[in-house]
Amino acid sequence: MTEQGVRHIGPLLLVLAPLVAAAWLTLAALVPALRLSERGRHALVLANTLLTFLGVVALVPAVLAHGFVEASVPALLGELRFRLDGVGALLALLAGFVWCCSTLHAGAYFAAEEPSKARRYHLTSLVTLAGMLTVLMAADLVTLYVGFEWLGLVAYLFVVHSGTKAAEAAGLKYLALTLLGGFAVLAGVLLVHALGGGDLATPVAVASGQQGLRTAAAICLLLGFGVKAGALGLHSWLPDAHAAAPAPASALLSAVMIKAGAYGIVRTLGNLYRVEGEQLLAAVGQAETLGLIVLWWGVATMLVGVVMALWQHQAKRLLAYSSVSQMGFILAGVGAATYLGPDGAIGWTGSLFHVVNHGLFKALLFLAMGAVIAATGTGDLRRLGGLARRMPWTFALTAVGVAGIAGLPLLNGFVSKSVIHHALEYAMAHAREGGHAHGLAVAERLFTLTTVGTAAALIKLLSLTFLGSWRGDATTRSGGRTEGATWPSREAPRAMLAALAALALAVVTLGLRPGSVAPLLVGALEAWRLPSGEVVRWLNEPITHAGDLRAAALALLLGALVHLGCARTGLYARRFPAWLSLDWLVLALLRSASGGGLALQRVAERVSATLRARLLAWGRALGGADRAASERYGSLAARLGAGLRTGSQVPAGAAQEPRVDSARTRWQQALLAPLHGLCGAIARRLPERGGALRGVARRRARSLWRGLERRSHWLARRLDASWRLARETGQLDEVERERLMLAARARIQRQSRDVGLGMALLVLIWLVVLASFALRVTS
Amino acid sequence: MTTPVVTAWPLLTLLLPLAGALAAIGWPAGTPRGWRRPLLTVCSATTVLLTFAFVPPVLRGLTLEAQLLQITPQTWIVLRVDAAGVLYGATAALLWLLALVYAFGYLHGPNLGRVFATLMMCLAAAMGVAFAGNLLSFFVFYELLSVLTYVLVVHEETPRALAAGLKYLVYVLVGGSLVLCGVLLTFAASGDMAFQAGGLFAADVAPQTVLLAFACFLAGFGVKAAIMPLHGWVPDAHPAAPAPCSALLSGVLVAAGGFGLIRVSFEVVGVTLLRELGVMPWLGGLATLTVVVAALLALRQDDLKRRLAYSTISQMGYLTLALALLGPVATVGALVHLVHHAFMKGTLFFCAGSFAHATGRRGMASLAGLAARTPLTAAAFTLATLGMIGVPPLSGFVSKWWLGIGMLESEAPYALVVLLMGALLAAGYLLPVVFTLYFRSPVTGPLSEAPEAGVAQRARAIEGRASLLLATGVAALLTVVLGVAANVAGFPAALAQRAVAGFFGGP
Repeated sequence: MTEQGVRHIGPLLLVLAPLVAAAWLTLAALVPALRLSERGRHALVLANTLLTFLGVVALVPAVLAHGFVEASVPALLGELRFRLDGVGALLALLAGFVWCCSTLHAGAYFAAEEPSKARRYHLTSLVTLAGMLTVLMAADLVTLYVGFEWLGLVAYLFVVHSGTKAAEAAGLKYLALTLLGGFAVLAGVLLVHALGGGDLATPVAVASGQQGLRTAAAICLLLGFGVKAGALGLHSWLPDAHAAAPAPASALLSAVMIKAGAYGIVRTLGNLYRVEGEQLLAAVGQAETLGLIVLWWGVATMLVGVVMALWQHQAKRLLAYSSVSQMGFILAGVGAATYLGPDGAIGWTGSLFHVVNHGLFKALLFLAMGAVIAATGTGDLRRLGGLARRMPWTFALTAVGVAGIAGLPLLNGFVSKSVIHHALEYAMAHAREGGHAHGLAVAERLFTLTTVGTAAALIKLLSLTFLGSWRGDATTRSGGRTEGATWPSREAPRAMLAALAALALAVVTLGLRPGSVAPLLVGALEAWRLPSGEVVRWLNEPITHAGDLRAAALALLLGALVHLGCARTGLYARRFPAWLSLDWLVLALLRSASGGGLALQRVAERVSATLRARLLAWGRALGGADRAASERYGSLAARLGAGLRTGSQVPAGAAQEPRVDSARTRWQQALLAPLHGLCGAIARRLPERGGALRGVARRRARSLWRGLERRSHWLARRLDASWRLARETGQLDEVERERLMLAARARIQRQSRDVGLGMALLVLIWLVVLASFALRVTS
Repeated sequence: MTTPVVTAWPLLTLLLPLAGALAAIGWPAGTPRGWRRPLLTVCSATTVLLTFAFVPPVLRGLTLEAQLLQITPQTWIVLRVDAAGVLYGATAALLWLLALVYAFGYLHGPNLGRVFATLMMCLAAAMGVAFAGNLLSFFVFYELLSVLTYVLVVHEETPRALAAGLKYLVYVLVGGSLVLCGVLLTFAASGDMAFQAGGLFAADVAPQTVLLAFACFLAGFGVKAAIMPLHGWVPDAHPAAPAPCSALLSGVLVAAGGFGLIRVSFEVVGVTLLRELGVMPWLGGLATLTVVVAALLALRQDDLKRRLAYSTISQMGYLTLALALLGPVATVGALVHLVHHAFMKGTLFFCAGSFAHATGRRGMASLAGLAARTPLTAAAFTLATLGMIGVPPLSGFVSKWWLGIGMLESEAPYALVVLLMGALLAAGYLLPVVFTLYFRSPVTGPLSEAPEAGVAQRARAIEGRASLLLATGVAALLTVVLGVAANVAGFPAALAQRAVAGFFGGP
């Protein structure tokens, strides 16, 4: 049993080392006294990556002895915490090793490039290495997210390295998807934090009433990491980016960086959503569902990836799609492990081992294709051929990689694929529901089908590149490209071959002794409280297992037949219809969205025009109403006056009536007569007064409006004058002037409207003030 | 709550900039011309240091107070230094110093004395806004700041600037009268004005009165904070003003509206009363609209400064949104975002000014390939863009983190979606600019050949001008430092937590 961790400065040094080297490179570029030669710079970068790799190796004993190694540095929101445990160490070893090989290869690959570009490449490589190690050694989700974003955004420089239009387009796609994925991860991280989690070692608590949030967090994290891992539906950046990047960078992207996505998914399902002891039943159900989703996602990814790979003509695109497919294997293993819960150790073993294996052989294949591209100037499989004669060593080493990925027994791919296959079978046998078992049986068939496809695609790559005869001089052009292909003058440079050989050696070693990764895997499984006793047996079993051997042989044989069949019948030349592509779908969506946006804008414009017309109409109607009101007022007053007048004439008519109290009546008459007279006079004046008032109001409104008009005309005149001036002095060209003129017209219109609205608002405000004070006074 | 310490130090934050304003117009007469700029810088820098000096006592929980003058028997103009005030004051003072340094290199031509004097007076007013101790003082300084800023907006005196100034004036005066309305209502209903955590209103005040007062404040400060239907002045005033002034408009002036809203919500009305009133969800809805619609509008702006102005509207929407949730962590997020946004947007506006200066044009097309000529400015722009998107470890990430956690803590996951959508749209409207800077090749044609030579020359001049680079560089550096060292005591997060503890009646 391992102890509970140890604090060590190691992880910090591992992250810092590449950054220090990067800083040195930058300084050397800026300060003449420190200038490095080409060779010196390459040596510095190579020594640094080697040192980083050895640093990881040096930490492994501590990890094995204590379970994990911890460190922290105060920064950002509190501190960035690092923890290197079994899983992290396994992947960090892979990252360090592949980085060394790729850097070794890059030295030869960029020999012909201009120095500034090579420097940029090396800088990017160092910084991404630090980012990758941060991801692999993160102890909490915040640190993981920091490393993940850092890795993703800096790697953009890899994608656009060549500076061609295609690279730029691929970069745009890469950046958009990386940002989207990053936001999804951030949302997931925030949700997990809100649920009280955040440390990668402890599962997210299951509190009642928060199932929804917990599910949302899982979905966000899976989608975000899925982008990087190239899972189906989110993979569309991957082939473009891998094809656009220079070969050593493609190797890093494909072998290591997309593993950051897989690693994120492993951590999500293995750590955060692990079912532990006395968890609620809901958590178990949730883990099972997540496991099934990821499993099916993986199966779909592997199948589509391999079909796409089979139909590629560019070597690097083929390898990129094959990477998508291989990530599907890993996801399927992870899904099976999560579905099995406490019995899932076999799934974790298979998928984690496959992460390492795929990293090794895919790096080998990308670097080999890099050697081919450097030698011939093209990666078009329709124009290569027969290179085995001129580049036998490259051919032999590529063949090792192809055999590894295709699952030839005694090589590493065979072992991990077989273990994942066993995990699927195990899940099938232990499915809790009949429906799941049937589904898993289908998944298992698809898995077998994919291994056949993988073999076919990689055999295609190997045979079209190295076997047969050279087709580079043929006049066939690939889609209008005028890229030249030259028959290589010699074998690949020694540095490249050394890098390939190191990777091939690792492929063979892990194939012969798969048990050598067992200690780290056991450590990881123990940390997750899963039974780890059988890991060594699972890893050593396939080579003696008749079923596995038969399946591998069948896959290779069928793969070769499929390739031969497709090549003979010309099936490879067939293209898929455009609407099957994801990009087409996204573009169609975008087009319809922008169309919708335009339509909305048109609607908004129409509405605002209507509103404006309505407002004007209202204004006119108000004016009319005002006139009508004042007329009515006038007539009312006239009637009132008439009434009063008739009232004052009543006494005269009343003379005939019997006198009740003549003295009093006389008094009254005497008093009321002047009053009546006054009333009459007022009543006579009233209509005129009303008319006058009306006139005043109308004059006020008219002057206000005229003022506004004058102001806007004045502004327009000023603008016109300044444009005339500008045109005369030739500062503005005609088109821009037109545009500015129109914009300014619109602005003036808007402004006069604004001023009107503002005044209306002011009036409103003062009304409110008065009203509130009136309220205050009366209360 | 400890009793405030009465001291005259806060007064100095007003007097120093005013002295600077005098220096800017060459008073006392006979001061050598060459001394003006150093004098201005010294005044501004001392103000910054003074605001920094307030940080330690405020973090210890002290409040400093200075009474300025008595207007009526009940009303004093009072300066009071507390955590929220220091947060806003230090931000404003520092950004002001940077803008001033930038302006030394950027502004040329007539009316320099006028604009620099106004800048310094505005700084004094901003300090007043930050350190106002009661509603009336706040209103006085707030109006001063608004009206004085008009001079900055119309500095160039082009028809465009004048028109924008007119629009600005109408908007802020209407907003100001609404705020005054709120102040009067509050005074009439509560008989008190001093900011006080938990609110001023007694329990027996009719809710309608409180609602009316708060609605007035909301509409008044909303104009300045650019809440969506009231935002009209922002996209016109920002492009019209010279670049350093646009940076201040964005970082300090628009933020003043948000700051006023925070003050009023927590220290005039109070959290409990606000929850009872139930207006905040509506405000949240408006803020959501602001974040999304402003960002969508920003997508289609061709003028870089106009694009940035819409971005300001969108980003300030975060602040309102977080405020509307009335949660402690969300409020910390709002305060932190206020600071971080100021320096990020400051960087962006400084860069935009440099670009416009280099090309002599506005519009995206003119930026094509400019990064090759102005590498440092372009790098600063890229950095600030990444900050706006919220890439760790830059400051934008830290404020987004606080906001996000606060939104989830207040059980409003929809707000998180808005936040992330805003960030995504920020990537959508700022990254194309970066792309244009780095990857588009400059348009060459018969018409643009002659200006092209001029551009190269001017671009060199821009990168060669120390004050422009210095201000841009320091602002960009702050974007990094505020992110990486976000947790250091005395940095925005600590101050904001202190302030929020007061608002919510904690320790």
